[in-house]
Amino acid sequence: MTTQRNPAHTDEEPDTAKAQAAAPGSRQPVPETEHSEQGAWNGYVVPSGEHPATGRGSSAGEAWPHSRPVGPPADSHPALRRVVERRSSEGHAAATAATTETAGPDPEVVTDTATAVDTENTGRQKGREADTAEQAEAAGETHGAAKPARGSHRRHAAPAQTAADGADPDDPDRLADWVGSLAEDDGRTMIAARRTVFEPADGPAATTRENEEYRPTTREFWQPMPETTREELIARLDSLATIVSIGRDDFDPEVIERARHVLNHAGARLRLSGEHTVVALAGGTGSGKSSLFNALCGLDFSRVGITRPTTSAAHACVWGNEGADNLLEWLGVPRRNRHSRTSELDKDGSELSGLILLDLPDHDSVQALHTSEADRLIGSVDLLVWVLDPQKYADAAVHHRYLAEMPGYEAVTVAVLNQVDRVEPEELEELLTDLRRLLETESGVQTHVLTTSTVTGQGVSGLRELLIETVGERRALIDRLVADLDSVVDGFERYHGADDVEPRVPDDVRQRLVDDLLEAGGAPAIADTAETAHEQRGSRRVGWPVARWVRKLRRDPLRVARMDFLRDSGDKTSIGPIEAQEAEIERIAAEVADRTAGSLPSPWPRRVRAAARTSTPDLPGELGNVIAGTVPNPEDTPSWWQTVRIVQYLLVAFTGVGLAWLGTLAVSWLGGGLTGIGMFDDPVLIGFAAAIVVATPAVGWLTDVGCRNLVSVAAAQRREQVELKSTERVRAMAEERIIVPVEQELQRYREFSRALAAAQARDA
Amino acid sequence: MPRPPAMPEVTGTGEQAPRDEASQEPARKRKGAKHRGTATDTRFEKVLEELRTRIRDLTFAEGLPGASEGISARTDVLHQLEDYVLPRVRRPDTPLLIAVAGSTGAGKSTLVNSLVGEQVTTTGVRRPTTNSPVLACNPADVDWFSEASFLPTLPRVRQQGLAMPGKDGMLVLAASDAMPEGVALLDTPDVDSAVSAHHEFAAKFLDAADLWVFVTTSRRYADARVWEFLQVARDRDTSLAVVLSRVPRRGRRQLLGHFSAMLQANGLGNAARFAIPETDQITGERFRPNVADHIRDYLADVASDLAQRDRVSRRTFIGVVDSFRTRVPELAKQVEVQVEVGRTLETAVSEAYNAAVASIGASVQDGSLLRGNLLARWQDIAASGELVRTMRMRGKRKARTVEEDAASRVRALEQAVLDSLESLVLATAERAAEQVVDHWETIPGAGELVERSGGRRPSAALAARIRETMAEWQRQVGEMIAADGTTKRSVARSVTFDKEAFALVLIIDLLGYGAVETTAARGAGPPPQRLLKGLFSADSLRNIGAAAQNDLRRRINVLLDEERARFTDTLAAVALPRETDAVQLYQATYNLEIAR
Repeated sequence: MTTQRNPAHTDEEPDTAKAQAAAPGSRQPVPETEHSEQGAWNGYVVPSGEHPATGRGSSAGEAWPHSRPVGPPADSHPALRRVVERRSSEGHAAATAATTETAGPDPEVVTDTATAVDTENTGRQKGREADTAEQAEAAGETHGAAKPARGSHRRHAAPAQTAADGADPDDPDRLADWVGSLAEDDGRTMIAARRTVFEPADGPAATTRENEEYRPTTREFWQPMPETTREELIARLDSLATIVSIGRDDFDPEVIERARHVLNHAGARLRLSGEHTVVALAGGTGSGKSSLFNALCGLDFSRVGITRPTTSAAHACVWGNEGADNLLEWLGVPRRNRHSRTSELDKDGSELSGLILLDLPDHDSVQALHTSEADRLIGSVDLLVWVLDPQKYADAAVHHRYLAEMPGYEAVTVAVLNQVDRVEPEELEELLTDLRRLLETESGVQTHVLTTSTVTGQGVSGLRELLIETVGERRALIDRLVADLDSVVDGFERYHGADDVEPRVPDDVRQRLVDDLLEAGGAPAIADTAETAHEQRGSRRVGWPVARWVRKLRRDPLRVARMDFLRDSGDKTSIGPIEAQEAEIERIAAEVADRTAGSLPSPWPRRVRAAARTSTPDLPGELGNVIAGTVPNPEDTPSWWQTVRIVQYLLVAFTGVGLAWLGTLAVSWLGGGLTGIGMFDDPVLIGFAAAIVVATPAVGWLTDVGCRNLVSVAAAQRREQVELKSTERVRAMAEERIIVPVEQELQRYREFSRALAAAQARDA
Repeated sequence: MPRPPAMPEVTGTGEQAPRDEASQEPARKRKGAKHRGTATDTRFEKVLEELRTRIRDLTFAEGLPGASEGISARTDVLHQLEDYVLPRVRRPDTPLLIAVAGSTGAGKSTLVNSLVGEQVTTTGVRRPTTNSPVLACNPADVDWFSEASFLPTLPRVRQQGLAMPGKDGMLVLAASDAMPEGVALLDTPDVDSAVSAHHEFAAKFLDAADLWVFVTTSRRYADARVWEFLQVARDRDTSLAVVLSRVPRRGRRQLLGHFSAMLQANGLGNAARFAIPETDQITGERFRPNVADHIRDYLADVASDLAQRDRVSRRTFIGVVDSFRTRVPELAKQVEVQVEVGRTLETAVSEAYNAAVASIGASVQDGSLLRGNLLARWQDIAASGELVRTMRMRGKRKARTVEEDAASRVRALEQAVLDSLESLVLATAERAAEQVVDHWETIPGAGELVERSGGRRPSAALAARIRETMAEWQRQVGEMIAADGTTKRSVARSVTFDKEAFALVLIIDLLGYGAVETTAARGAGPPPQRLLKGLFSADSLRNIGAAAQNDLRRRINVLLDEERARFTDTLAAVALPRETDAVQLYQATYNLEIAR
């Protein structure tokens, strides 16, 4: 069943405005000729007609009664005003209150033909009250129109409509930036119908006589939201966008999704008219949303029905048309359900100018479509007025599904207990206490509670005052988005550690990393090998050859084991690239990550690890090459080796010559001068030759010892050189391939922390 | 068992549903409809008992898919079995229980007071008003309801005198002479208020009732919650009377018409319907006589006529037993879901760790470990000839410096071997754990299991454990090498060598030196195989090699199994249902079908 559509208020809004202008304050008599068509029942079989074949149909008049709009009794105003607690608007509120009060008793009476028509529905006994109400309402209208200052905001209304419109003074480039950056992720501009709903509440408590008695309670828990300017909000949203881009892949996808949703939603809403405040009446079927809507509009816009559920699509009533169309389009209110109260002559509108009042479909009927539509709009509006009634106020459908899911929305939520005419005044108190208790215990929401009755008109003016105030402040929009933001941002808190992390890998970790990499790449071993090889090679060159020859004559275990080949291979020691074990590199990288970021909350250690391991597959080969490159060419031997070698062999030769000479001398001398050559016969020379034979090996041996020492020193130098060079190169490599990615990730964490703090407005 | 007719006999406000001929069939005896002779009866009871045992023994792993659905289905079926079906099978003479249920604020309590004729329960403007259910019955029947056979799990108090608010969660028994014998009237908590305990309560009572009087209001009749219950009533074919209260005078016909059409459209067209106008005719917490009289008449009618009463209760009973036909298999389906989840979790573990075992098994013999430090150390010791220097002729002593130098190199190689093996096993274990966790995290609700099993990192002591195990293995290999008879006799006679060093040579060989050297020029140095062949006989080499390799694999498997146990133990600790549970449930349903 769709809501009755009013032909007078469909597409030709200017006409409507004119019609209203012609009769200010008058109610449009609505021809009830059109019966709404039967909507589809989700999940249920639909009765074929409104008046089913049971033959028990009823007359149209009975089926579609009008609820008559009623204003509040004028005398309730002073009481109302005292409860106003919005500190930010203290002065303004007082002013408004004062003027309203004086305007209240204004005896200007509107002769209303519709009243007579409506009486059949509301009962004759209520007629008197209704009249009073109308007077009050009319008075309010008159007063509102007389305040020209109110109209000034209309100046701003036009430019705020589209993002493309660069003239919008409130939309800095940044907004376009982050909205644009997210647009590619997710093209939706509309809020999705989610179960988690947001609810706005704002404005001061304007209450009725009954409610005044509860004022202490209200005072106790009423906490106005800290002021947030539009710029601050945008800055915070920016930060949220940063968070989303940082954590896109690693944070809980649900939280990310919600954040994106809030960003899109807030971006879309901020681009639309900031001069309008969208207020929605939400509630279960039969709570009297439509009646209240009509009462607030002063016209029968929304159909009020007997059978349930009645309203299936949202109705909107706009005070101050300019710029509202795009907003309504965005809200998805069908054109035929939009009603306008704007007109220069319609005095009623000016106080509320900038208000878009929505009558939502129910959220608890069998019509799943209604529920999803209501959910969608509840997620989009600026201020949410929950319309409860004495029968349904304790329903789980309201408390558990909506209110409990929306902590932090107190500032933009108002609870209205409607239909208070149905309970005895003495029972009302008990009822209100119970409602407050329920709101607190079941929903954890502390919000304003008003009471209204559309039948007696009681409390409607209070609600109206609240709306006037809300609209006047133009803050509900921001407050609502701030509440959205808060609810999402808290979800990221768990990714933020208690203590701050330096975005630099500590020195000891770096040192350890280099050591580990060197060890993994076998650098110490290679340095050892280089030293040994050099030493061996050197000692072979500069050693005393005779000693070597003697050693060879010894009994050799290798020969016994037939492993002679081992000896031959000795000189061929060469060192090629040896890579490194990948598992080891992986472990080393992970250790760096753990030591640096181990204390961070959940996804970060993993992220830092991943960053540290980015180049693990290439590292082993690279490491091997780097280290191998530090080993000097083994063929590259010092030239003095050759000299010493020649000297050594010369010495050996001398020894040989000396020996030969000695032998010859001895034989020749003993033989009495056999050779006849003085050199061989002179016994004196025997001593000389013997000296040569003794001295040359001694010199050779000494040279051996001395040069070996030199070789050892050179080998140790080589080793040091290898160690130094490889340390240096590995350090550079580690810096580039492991430290830098890790530090980038740490930097990202800091960015996240900063963005989170900014989004939470912690430092503010 | 013949199906009793739908309950048509009552009219609401002037509507008359057609009477079914079959309803005239006389009841066999009072309340006797539920059983046909003792033999069948006991059999039926036995089957039901078995079904109950099966269901009661079901366990669900909380948090995993299927658990919440499974648990609620289990509780549902179990409660209805214990609270309703079994008592009625055991005791055919149970008084007829009429439950007045419905939305909060619909006037259930007022209606009950009016029906009883005196104030037994409290009414009020607060929502929800009734916190504890009140059962009104004839004093003769009070004993029956105080027994444990009726709603055994529920604590109850007897009400003395006038209505008093009972303690929350207690069933208040109010005896009243105004109630006819054999009939009890139950005022239940609401089904839709913010107090969720009430919903469970109400559902429990509805499950135990023979006849539902469902009260809703002109505001609420389109509420989703109301229809949830009405649909349950329809699905179970419960005897049902629907009361629409607070009907405004204006638009009454239209309202009733709409509501009737909705009932009709939802298959409840033949439920008894009543309307109570929105009225101020309430005195003493009940309606004035004329307001609720038609309902009272209807109930009195049901209560007084045995046949009628029997039909009413029998219809509900059969409806409930029939509903088991679908409800128990649904429960079994949830069991299957859980079994499937359990299997997935298990598979993830075994896959990951089997892969780990396989990859380690390959790595320790394809030479992939012979890189980096280990290879460099090997080259250092082998190519430089240091290894050779550990060998010497018997009876000769080497210079101490040489000895020390060689020993330190051997130790370095030993450490390198340990390091490589440790890294390999640790990295593989880590990868396996990560794989398992990644897999588990794709299953909703398994995050907690991950937490409980210790997360994605291997246990802290693993590194130390690996090192210890590997060192032990090295010792083992050393012992095998050192054993008598492995060294060639010709060599052993004249040469001594460092057994530990050659154990390392063997290990290098086992790790796949040969496989690598052919593929890449890995620097110089003699292949370990040749070294070993020089010292050991080919046979013993083969034996030792095979034994050492097996030993290594076994040890690594033990290590990985310890790691795997983290996950398997966690899985074992959550009470996942067994596969046979589902089968047994199906079997029990089948038996029930047979026994009917």
